Amino acid sequence: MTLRPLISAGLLLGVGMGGFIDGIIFHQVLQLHSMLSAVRPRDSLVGLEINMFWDGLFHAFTWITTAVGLWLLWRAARRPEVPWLGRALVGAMVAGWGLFNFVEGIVDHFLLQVHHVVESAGLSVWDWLFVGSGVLMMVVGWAMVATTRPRDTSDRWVEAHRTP
Amino acid sequence: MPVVPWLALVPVLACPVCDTGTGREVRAGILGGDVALTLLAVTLPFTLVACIVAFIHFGRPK
Repeated sequence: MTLRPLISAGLLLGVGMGGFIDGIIFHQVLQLHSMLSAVRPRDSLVGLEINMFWDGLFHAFTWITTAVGLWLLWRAARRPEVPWLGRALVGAMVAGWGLFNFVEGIVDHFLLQVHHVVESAGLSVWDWLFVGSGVLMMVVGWAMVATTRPRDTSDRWVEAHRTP
Repeated sequence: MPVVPWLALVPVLACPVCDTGTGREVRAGILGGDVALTLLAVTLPFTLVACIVAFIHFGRPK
């Protein structure tokens, strides 16, 4: 028995879901956290369009990550040695979302400084909260995976109806 | 200063592939000298996460 294929699928799906929440809620609805807002200010039409282009590229990579995650999940579901455990999958997704926030926050907010969560505030408490939320989600997600039992009640139906 | 409100009402056609002055500015901004750094900023987090996930998926190299 191995959980690795399920965890890797969940991690990528978590990156994808988290990326889409970032793109929809932050980039588009709140119009914060755009890809290049620190180097190309969003204070003119040209600046807005340049940020929109790079945000779009970010969403394209998020889509690809989600698609690869779905493909890995499909493969995992067909492997008899991989237990089909919802708690582990959801835990891996939470951890994946957190992992991406952490990595993206460190690379883009702190090291390259191409953008921040609230650009008018620069590198601020919001960026620390962003990275901190990533760490918290990684811990919570990993705890969910680590405490998963192969015979959780919620997974019995799926196990029983699974094609060998 | 009546010119400023008048200018604000002029429609501006702008997109990365638009053949207008603003469109050209957008294109130049996207493909400017720092395009490599920008591409790195967009792709590096995905690349790092992909490496971590690959390590978990395949295990330690033998």
